Amino acid sequence: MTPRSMISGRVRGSKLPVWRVIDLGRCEPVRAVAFAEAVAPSVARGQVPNTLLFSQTNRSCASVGFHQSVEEEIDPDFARRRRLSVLRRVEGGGTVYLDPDQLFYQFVYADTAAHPGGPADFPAFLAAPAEALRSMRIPAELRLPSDIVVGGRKVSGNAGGDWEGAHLITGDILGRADGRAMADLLRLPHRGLRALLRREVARWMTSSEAEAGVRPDWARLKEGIVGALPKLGVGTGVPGMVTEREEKRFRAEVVPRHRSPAWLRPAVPVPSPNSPVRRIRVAGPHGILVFRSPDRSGMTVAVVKGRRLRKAYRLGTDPDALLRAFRPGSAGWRELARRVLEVGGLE
Amino acid sequence: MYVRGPRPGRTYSAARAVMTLESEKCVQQQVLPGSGTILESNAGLEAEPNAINRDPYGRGWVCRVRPSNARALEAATERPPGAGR
Repeated sequence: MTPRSMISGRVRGSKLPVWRVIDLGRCEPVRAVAFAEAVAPSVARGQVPNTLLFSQTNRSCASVGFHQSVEEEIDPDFARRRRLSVLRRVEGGGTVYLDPDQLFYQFVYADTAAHPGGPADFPAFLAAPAEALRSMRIPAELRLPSDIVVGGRKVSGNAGGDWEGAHLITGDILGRADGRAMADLLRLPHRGLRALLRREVARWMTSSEAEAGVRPDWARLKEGIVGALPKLGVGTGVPGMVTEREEKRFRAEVVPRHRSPAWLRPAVPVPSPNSPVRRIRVAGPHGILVFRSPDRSGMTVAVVKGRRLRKAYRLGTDPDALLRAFRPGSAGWRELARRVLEVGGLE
Repeated sequence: MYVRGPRPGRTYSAARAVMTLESEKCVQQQVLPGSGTILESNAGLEAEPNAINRDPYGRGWVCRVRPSNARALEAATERPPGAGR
């Protein structure tokens, strides 16, 4: 039970609201990814304070964003070979590969004037994990809207959502980065793209181990995040417990929904003819857009930074064909740059 | 950016989420200012969600609603300062 004094209470001598901090420990992927959905109604109804959850998965899994479909996003052969659980989270963003070498944190909070939800809330909350990384001598900084980067390379990805009247911000800190798995997880419209994607992931992702040279001290990281909350004016973290109501809701509502085909495979809109057939955000503004060639004889591939074309390739219809690069400034390059601008890049 | 629009024919009470909108990796649930029935939803918006920003009163329209209580809806609708009733 959550003590009544803790709900919307304050720590003695502090003007900041109390945040319940729950460490779920190592757990099944569905618990790590989706337990916040069982907490959200309790927070929204004022039955418990705003809550910060920590967890780590006990095995690898994949998570697609709320507006994505597992079928469209995940390479089924890879998921089968790795025996991955595949989940669709309620927060936004793209597909991610999750493994036991990552720390998840989830902020579940009530709607207030200070924190009304949406991307504007990212800086206030994500400053805490960034601060925790800095306390471990990793020079992490925020890259808006929602990444934490070290030297321009992503060490933590984050996303937000609304659920049952509460707001959620969820993210992970990469202890180790299995870049190859991150690239191989995604379903691609052409085999020739795989090597390109692996290179881009290797270039733009990092991990706390790669930056600090040692395996992360998870306990210290969690302490660092909780310790940063008062300094940032967010609140004061107090250790708490899962309520019976939340546990029951998780088992009776959240888990069955996450296992249902209708949840995993929502109807995905048919893209307009000019839209890319695949849009992959690797990290921050860096990503890959794949278009059908205007004459339908193959595909063109744009490696972009936001709306700017960095590299351009052509892919034939042969599935084993390699990428052929367009010369910068050539007619093919200019045409692709125009299409990237037309669709707004990675927007 | 992604949009999942409201379902035509369904009746929603005020403050219930009728649609989701995702921008900058954040999904936000959108509510109606009052209760009502969705008569029509812009099917083209899901394929071209940026129309909400580019042309909100044209191609970016979201839905047509028959309010359950027109007065309540009117009261909930913001008016510019100084505007008469």
